[in-house]
Amino acid sequence: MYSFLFKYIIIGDTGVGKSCLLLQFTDKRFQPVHDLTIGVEFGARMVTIDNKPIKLQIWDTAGQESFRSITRSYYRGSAGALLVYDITRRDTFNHLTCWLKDARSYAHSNMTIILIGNKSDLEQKRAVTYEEGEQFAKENGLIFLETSAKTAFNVEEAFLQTAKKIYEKIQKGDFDINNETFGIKLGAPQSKTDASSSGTGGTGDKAQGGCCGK
Amino acid sequence: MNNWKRFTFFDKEIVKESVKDKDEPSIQKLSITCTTSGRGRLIIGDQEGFIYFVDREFRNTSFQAYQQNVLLLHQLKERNFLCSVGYDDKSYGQASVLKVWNLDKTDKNDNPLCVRAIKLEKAISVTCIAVLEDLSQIMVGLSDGEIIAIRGDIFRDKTIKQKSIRQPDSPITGMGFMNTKGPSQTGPVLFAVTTTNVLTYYTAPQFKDQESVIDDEGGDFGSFIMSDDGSPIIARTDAIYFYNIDGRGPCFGFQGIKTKVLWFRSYLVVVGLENSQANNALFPGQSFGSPSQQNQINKNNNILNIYDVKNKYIGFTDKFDSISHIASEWGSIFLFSADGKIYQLEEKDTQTKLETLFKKHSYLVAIDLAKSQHYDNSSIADVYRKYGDHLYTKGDYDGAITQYLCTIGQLEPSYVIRKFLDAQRIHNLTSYIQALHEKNLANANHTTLLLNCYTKLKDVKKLDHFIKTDSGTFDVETAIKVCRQAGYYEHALFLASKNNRHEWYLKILLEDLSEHRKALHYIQTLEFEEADKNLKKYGKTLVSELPDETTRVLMKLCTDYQPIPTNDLFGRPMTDTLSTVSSTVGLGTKLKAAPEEFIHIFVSQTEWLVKFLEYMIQQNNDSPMVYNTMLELYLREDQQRGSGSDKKEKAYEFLTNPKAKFDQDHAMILAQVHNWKQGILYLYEKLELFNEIIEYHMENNDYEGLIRACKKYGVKDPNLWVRALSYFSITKQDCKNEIVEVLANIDRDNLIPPLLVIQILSQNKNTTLEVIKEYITRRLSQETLQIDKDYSQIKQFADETEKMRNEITDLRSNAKIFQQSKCNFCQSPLDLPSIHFLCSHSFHQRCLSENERECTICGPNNRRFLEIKKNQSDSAIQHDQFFKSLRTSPDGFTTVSEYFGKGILS
Repeated sequence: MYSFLFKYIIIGDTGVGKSCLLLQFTDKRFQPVHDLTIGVEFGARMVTIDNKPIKLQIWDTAGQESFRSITRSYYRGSAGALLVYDITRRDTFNHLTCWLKDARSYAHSNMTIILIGNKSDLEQKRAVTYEEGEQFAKENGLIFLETSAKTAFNVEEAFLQTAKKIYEKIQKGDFDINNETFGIKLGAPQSKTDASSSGTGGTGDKAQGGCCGK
Repeated sequence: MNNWKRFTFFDKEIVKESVKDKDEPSIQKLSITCTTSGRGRLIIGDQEGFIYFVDREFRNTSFQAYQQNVLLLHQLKERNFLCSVGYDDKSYGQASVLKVWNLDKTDKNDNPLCVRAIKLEKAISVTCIAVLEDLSQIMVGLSDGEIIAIRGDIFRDKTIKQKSIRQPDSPITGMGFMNTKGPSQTGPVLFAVTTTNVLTYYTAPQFKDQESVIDDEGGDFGSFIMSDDGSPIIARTDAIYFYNIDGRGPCFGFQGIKTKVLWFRSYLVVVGLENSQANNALFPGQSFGSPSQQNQINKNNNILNIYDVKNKYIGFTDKFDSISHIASEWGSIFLFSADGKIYQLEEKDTQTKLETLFKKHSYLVAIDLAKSQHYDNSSIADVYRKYGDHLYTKGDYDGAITQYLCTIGQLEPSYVIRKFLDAQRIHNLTSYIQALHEKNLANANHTTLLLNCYTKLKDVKKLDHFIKTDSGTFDVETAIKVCRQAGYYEHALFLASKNNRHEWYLKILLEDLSEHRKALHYIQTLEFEEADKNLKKYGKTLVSELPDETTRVLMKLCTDYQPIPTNDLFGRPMTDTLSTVSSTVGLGTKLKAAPEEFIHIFVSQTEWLVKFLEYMIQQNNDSPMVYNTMLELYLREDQQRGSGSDKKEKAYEFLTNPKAKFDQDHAMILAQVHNWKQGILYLYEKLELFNEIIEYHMENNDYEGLIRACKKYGVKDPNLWVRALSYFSITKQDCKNEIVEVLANIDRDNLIPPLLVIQILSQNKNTTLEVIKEYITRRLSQETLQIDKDYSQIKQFADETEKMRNEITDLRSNAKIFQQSKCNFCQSPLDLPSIHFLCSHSFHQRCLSENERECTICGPNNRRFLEIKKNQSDSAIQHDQFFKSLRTSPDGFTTVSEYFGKGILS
């Protein structure tokens, strides 16, 4: 069982390694030959933040332009987004603005977005510097990490940092945790009536206390 | 745009009906309205109100279920019940009737038994139904968007309520109960698709048909299907969406208008409309127009795709002329076309599929397929091998090895190893053999190869890891050898110490690293037997390098050995050694090594040997070898030093130590070799070899010593004097005094007759008469005295003899007068009768009692004499006795003469 369920969405140009990131995070393996994602795929894993079991439900989207309309429908109801580019392909970095615009317009405004420069193992082919990525993240208020789905470098970190950030926001009372459009769900032990009585805002703390004290 | 691989895993054929009776209607000619399947039959409803059951041989049976047409059919999976919706006769108006059939029972007309017929209250056309397996809930979706819930016990309840749980809205296009098994206690959840949205209803009583909209997009007729595991699937124009209770799940972006979907085994069968644009025939992409427009254009051109959504490939694709119905049974999919044709799509067997995949080099799919078909490990490994081979021939060695890794345990490792050895791909080879080891499938050769790989690659880190963590998965001996050979001594050492291969450990330390101190220390940590063995083996080296320490260790080993409990080189506590120690102590047996076995290791370290032995002697060791060696050392040292009186004293002191346990013969030889007088003499004395002692003196012309020796030992062996005399007699030098002394001694004990003395002495020309004058004089006067004595004795004896002779004559020839007046017995005066004996004794007859033939006074005496005489003559005959006494007597002649006297020759 979990205290919270966070919905994530992974977005970014085709071939930047979204599916591989997910595979590495959920299955801890790397598949060098990965079929193009057709539509939207799904993965889940339990993590622990602040001693609370949290289930991450991750939607891995197709990066191709033609699937854009399908994937847009998945933005809604995501608490976190992993915006991925490929450090060896400049164009994937250039498209970030476009993706970010999509994310801002289709997801709720308080979605936590992490910028990920993937394929950090291919240093010799690097086309986007770390600083550029960092700069972009800073300008747009995103978390930033460079990862490698191949070597698993920072992969865990990327998902966890996002989860931590979302958790912090819950603590601050930024979400109505009973409204599932934020992509956050309370764990099953919390019955519906309890949740509604705990209300919104600063009472979020109490709500968790109730479910974890159990 | 779509990179799913495309295969042909289904065989298409047109079904030929086996018509047993010409009167039987042919399915091909029916106007089919609905189909379902299950429990080994295809079930078809037609416009005439008949329901047909079609068996595997395509024979059909039918019965009239409705007066008019059949609308919907639903076969239960777990029970042989069929639900149907259709129109009965006109008297019912146009309200449709829901009927539940028990197919296992028949009514009087031999038709399936109709368990219940429920006339729907609303005369609105039914679009779909959803039935719970226990028939406790039947949901009817209407074209006006209403959902009617029919609940209750249809077998018993007299009236069954029909409740509308959704108000009229957009038409219901599909419904199904979701699989809600598991921990969530939601009860049956109805999943409903309308043309505009997707809804769920919690139908369990406590939720009161709570409605939630989970998606704002709906689906057209025929776009909804439940997969076998109970997850709803909606095929929309843009993509095929999987749903769960909360809403959208994953989706697959296969574009195009879908008219029918079917779940078959693990496949999703989708019937779509073909796009007129030929170049993008299968998946009308970005440029599709409005559905209605398309519908008109391609009305009769259907395209059928069979997707394996799990393994992500397309299992079949083909074009058909307008497919009106679709069903599956007996492992096949049946397509009913509008023109009455029935197609059967039969899935190929897995082997055929795999072969197809191999031909197309789609190994990944093949692997997934084999796994999902629960193939055994060896078959799956075979697929991996094929994949590996394929990548190998393409030159993708990294990829190939990844596949080969999956074959471990099934495929003979040498197959892979040889391949990569040939290709000189050491990296790949290494990872393969490493994996072998991890799975405990490696043999000694593999270990050797792996270690060789590591050393060749100079991959110390991996080598470290392998050696320090994977112990037990390989042959230690081999590993040590290889490491040693490659110069990775530290690793070899680690292995050796970890696995208690002490010999190897020491060998490496001493022979390769020359770490003598470490080696010595290591030995000390070993338990006794090992330490003993290894010290014997390596002691020589150690002694020559570290004489001091080694000697100390040896001393300990030979007296009171305890392994040092210590951490070894790699910080591993030697717990095993400790425990051994305690057990040894517990047994109470103190182990001591035999010091003599270590002597040889000191070959060039005499100094230390001395120390070692001295210590051993101090510890009261009782091996003669130790003492002998010690002695030898003392002597040798002395010899080396040249003079060294000091050492001789030391040696002598050592030799004469009462505690010393020598092998005396050995010691003697040593003393002789070193010409050590004192020692020799001491030993002779100890061995009571007096002759040797005097001989020694003689050889050394040590007269004084000789005399002293004679005096000392003459008591034990008088012959010494004789020898001394003969010695002196032949010495060329003047040794008068000595001779005199010797003679004095000979004389005193009367060792040899004077004649012999003279004879001996006469041999020496230097001996003057003066030397023996005194002796001879004395001897002669003594002899004269003796002779005189003898003569007087002879005379005395002769007189006595004469006297006795006279007496005998007297007794024989003269009369004897008895003048005794008293009885010699009772001393009273004699009276008659009386008896007189020739010995001049007289007795009363009564006093003599019976024995009157013998004088009671002289009788015993006489009898004694007689006895002696008898004895003498008896013993004379006993020659043994004679020789015996002759041998034992000091003076043989006396004995002979004595026996002669006894009449030995008579």
